[in-house]
Amino acid sequence: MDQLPHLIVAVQRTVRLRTFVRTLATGLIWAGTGSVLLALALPTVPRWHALVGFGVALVAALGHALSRRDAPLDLVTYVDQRLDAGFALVSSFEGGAHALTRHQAEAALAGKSAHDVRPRVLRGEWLGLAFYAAALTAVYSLPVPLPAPRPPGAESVTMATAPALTRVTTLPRQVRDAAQRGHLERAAHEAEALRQRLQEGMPRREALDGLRRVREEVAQARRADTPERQRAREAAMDALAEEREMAQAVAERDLESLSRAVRRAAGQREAADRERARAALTQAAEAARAAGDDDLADGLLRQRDTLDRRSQQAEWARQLAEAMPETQRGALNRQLERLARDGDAEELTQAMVNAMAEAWQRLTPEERQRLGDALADAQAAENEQAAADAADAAGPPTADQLEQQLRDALAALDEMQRQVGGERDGSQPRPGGMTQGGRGTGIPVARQGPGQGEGQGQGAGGGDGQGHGAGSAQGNGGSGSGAGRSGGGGGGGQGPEGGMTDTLPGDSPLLGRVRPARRAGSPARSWVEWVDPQGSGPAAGEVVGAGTAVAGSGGQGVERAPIPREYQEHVRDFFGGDR
Amino acid sequence: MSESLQPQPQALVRFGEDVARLRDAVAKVIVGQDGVVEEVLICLFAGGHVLLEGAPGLGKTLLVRTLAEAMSLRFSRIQFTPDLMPADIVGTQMVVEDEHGRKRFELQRGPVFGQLVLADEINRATPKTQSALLEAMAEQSVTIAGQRHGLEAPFFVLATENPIEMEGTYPLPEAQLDRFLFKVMVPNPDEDTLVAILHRTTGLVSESVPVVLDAARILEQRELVRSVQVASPVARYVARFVRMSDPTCDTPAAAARAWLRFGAGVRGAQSVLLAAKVVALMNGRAHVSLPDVQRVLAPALRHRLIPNFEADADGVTTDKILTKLIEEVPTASDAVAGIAG
Repeated sequence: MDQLPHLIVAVQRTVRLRTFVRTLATGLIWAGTGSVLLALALPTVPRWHALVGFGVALVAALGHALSRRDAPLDLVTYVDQRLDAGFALVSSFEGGAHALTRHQAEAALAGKSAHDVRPRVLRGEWLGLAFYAAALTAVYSLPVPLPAPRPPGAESVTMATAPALTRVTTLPRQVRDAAQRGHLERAAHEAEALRQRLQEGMPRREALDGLRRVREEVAQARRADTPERQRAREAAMDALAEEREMAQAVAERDLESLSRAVRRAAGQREAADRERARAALTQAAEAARAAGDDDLADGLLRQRDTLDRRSQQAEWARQLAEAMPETQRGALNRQLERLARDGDAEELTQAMVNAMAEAWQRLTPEERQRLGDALADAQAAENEQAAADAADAAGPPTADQLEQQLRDALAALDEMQRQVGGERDGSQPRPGGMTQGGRGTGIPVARQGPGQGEGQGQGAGGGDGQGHGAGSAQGNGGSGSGAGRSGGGGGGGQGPEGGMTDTLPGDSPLLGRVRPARRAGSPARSWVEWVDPQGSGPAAGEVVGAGTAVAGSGGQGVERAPIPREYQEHVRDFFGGDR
Repeated sequence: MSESLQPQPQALVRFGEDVARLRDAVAKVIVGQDGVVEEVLICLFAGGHVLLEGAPGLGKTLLVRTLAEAMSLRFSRIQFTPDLMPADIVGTQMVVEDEHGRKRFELQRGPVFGQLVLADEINRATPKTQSALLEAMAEQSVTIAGQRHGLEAPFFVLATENPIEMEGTYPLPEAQLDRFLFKVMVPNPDEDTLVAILHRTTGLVSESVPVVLDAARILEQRELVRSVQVASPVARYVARFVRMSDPTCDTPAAAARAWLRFGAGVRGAQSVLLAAKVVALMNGRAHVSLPDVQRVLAPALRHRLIPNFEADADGVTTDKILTKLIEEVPTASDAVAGIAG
């Protein structure tokens, strides 16, 4: 009976070993199965979970084996049965056994070792390891699918402020038409919700979608072109078939482009006419001198010099008009025209132009800069006053004004859409668009500067211009025209004009630009768009010009005035009035 | 499970010798039927009663008479008939007149007052009469006219019965069946045995049975039997077997669930273990082993299992059910089976 405890210990160890092996095999089967299923269900998940399963199974097997504690009586019973002792060992182990029983127990234990009583450890457990190996092979053999591309527009966009959306929210209050109001109210609702979500951050795709909805509502609020207006535009385009640039501007209803095209065409023709006249005078002088009439030849040469001077004056005037359009299209020009009809208008105009040109030429760049700044300050003050006056007298906007506002809102939404959409890097200069930062590298552009005015001095021109840019605009300073209100003046109608200003080069000396609306016989409200040399925000406003509108007829922009008549008359008068 | 009293080594030897002598004595008269004789001897030394079932003429009565002669016990025989009354078994008070002419009640003891009682064809009497043996078999005493009378030890009842399907028989009540330690089935002899019986019983010479045991020796051996050690796993096997034979328990064996209406009870388990102790001693061991238990399961439990209708309809006997149960009931506990793997 002495070796019975040793046998029990041996059996217990073997049982623990077998427990470890069986638990490990079972765990490996589960781990292998789970890994295969996981790899099939989630192929993108890293495959190391199969090895984790092995580790878990190992730990579980160790824990299970070490925690196994079999009762000694059960172990003795097992040994008794294994040695076929007929329960003599159990009876002896329990104590109080008969000597005969103990003798039988000792006889059963005689010559027995742990090897004789150890239970079998391995039966089919190795199959678990084989299964796990197969599962591991299968798991790592399964192809890993390429990661799904990230859906576009999933990144978050946050905007603390969204002026374009804020503008849209104010639009419904200015509309009387029920249909337009419905569209704009929906747009305002969408814009407000979108603005709040943008403040908290939202996916770019949803932001773009929201902007698209807002834009659609605003676009639907715009009045559709009537057939009459469309026919008129097509007729104007046909008439300007030879002037492709003008026709394109008319097609796009871009009065600024049209103005540029007209000026460019007029300049080209003026230069050609002057050159022909100069050549004719030179030829005539030579012919006269050859014929012996030196007096006539000198007179012809003087006329040629006069023509050269006029050409130079015209060039200066064009530059001046470029800088101060009111000298060309404002009330002053119309007054000069009246004076010319009294007899000396041409000289007066010429003297004025000459004086202004000489004065402009005498200015140093620094003086021109100071003049531009002074004009800007004065114009800004006038703009504020005019805006306040306009707000005080604000009534419901006219249809054209509303149209302009809607266009502005759409343009602002487009710009915001580009910003949100990340089409361009905001730090890069944008031709024709917005630049941020980087003095001298951007292109100062004043866009969407609608000049609107009404005749009879009672129009409440509204609108705002946006000027963005950081270009170091130097050189020609803008000059505002007139100050304060001046009533009177004939000419009715209204001619909204909107569009884009020129795309100015970065080294343009232009500091400000005054854009009078063409109104005949009435103090016109002019728009001044300032290009901030410091590259900061918009400087735009409405001023009340005191000039005189040259245009005798107003109208609805391009549709009513394919070629500005006043400009035609101005060109004709400038070259002598015989054309 | 250990016993407080350890049997002496010589006692074990004497027990074996007594059993061998008793077998030899019986064998002088009874030819064959070794299993029946062994089971009867098991009951004798376990202190239980035996119910012998078999067709008439198989030597049941002769076996009992031979045992009585071999053990020098007071033998009485009760032939159960339908008109047998309980008083015919236990006895009655009779009025007797003494020499002075005075009358008094005197107990007229019935045959139950013998030490070895043969209740022949016990199932031919009515249940009322059969129950007259209940008290005697359970408590080894009888109560007559309100007075309790003890029976002389050893008191050993051997009842015989014919198969119950025979005409004119009354099935024994379950309570009375439970009083029997064993129900021994007496089989028909095979051809060789029958030939030997014919030669022995039809000749001129009749064997005389020697007396090999007396009452005191029997009681001594019964004490020895109770001192045999039973290990816990063995006792648990008996308990597990009895529980699984009960179809109403939590985990009955499939055979019990299919064919049994009632299973064995506590008295059945006691009978099995007590009889297994005798078998252990017969096999020269002082402790009970599993084969000892399995040897006595059938005779000890076959009359305690109540088959259900399906078993009756299918002709499944309790012996067959017990065979199935022995196959189904695990010999080792779950823990030991877990160690074995």
